[in-house]
Amino acid sequence: MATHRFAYPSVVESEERFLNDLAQVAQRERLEEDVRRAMMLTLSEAFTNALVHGNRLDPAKTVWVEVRVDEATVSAEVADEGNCGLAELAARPQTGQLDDHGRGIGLMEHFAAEVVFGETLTGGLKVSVRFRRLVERTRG
Amino acid sequence: MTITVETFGNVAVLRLNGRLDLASGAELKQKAKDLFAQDRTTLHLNLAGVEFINSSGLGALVSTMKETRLRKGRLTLSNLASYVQEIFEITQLSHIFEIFPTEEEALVSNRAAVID
Repeated sequence: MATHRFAYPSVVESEERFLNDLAQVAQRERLEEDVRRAMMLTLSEAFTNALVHGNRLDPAKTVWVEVRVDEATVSAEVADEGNCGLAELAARPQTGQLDDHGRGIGLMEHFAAEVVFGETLTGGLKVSVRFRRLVERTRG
Repeated sequence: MTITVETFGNVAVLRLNGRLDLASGAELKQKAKDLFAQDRTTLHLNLAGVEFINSSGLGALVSTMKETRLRKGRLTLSNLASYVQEIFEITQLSHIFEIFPTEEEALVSNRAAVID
């Protein structure tokens, strides 16, 4: 299993760096196109959430990312250093059709095989996601 | 993300290239704001070059559409890659936006709206 770890300051510019790093992981690990797209979208949602809602764009706070790849699955965790945790997630309002926010979690749940929300030891939000690779699907 | 702007009659066509996300979504909203300041309220977004879009990018599109409607203008989209189209379907935004297969068809529709 290959493990890739990244850490980013909570500034808007980190989003592009993160997506570039993720694209490199996909290339290095030769991920299938649909898995690559699903991973990029899902993790970008988790990352933006950590950056904006968790760490509130505080440059002193870090967004932590770990991506693990093996033949059958890609799994990843995105954690922030905020203190919103699960309570704020549970209290989020329903998204209306014309709202310009609030679609991220629905997209994550659509594209990932599994999405689990948890808390870090310090009360930040930790999102764990998993994707099935073609190898596993063709066996099944 | 690069955004180029070209005008055809009363329509401002914005061609987007790259990732439409948090940072570039803000850039798109600013471009639209600049056009509104020039009294341009009929916008067309050609998304042929959009290789990636997430909910922040979708939010920027929704925000731009709302601002356009507030000014009694019109926002159309075209050339969505199949992957982008799929995201519009999942989020049901395909029902909210006026989406055309090509930029030309959107421009024809805008010309027809002016004649009406």
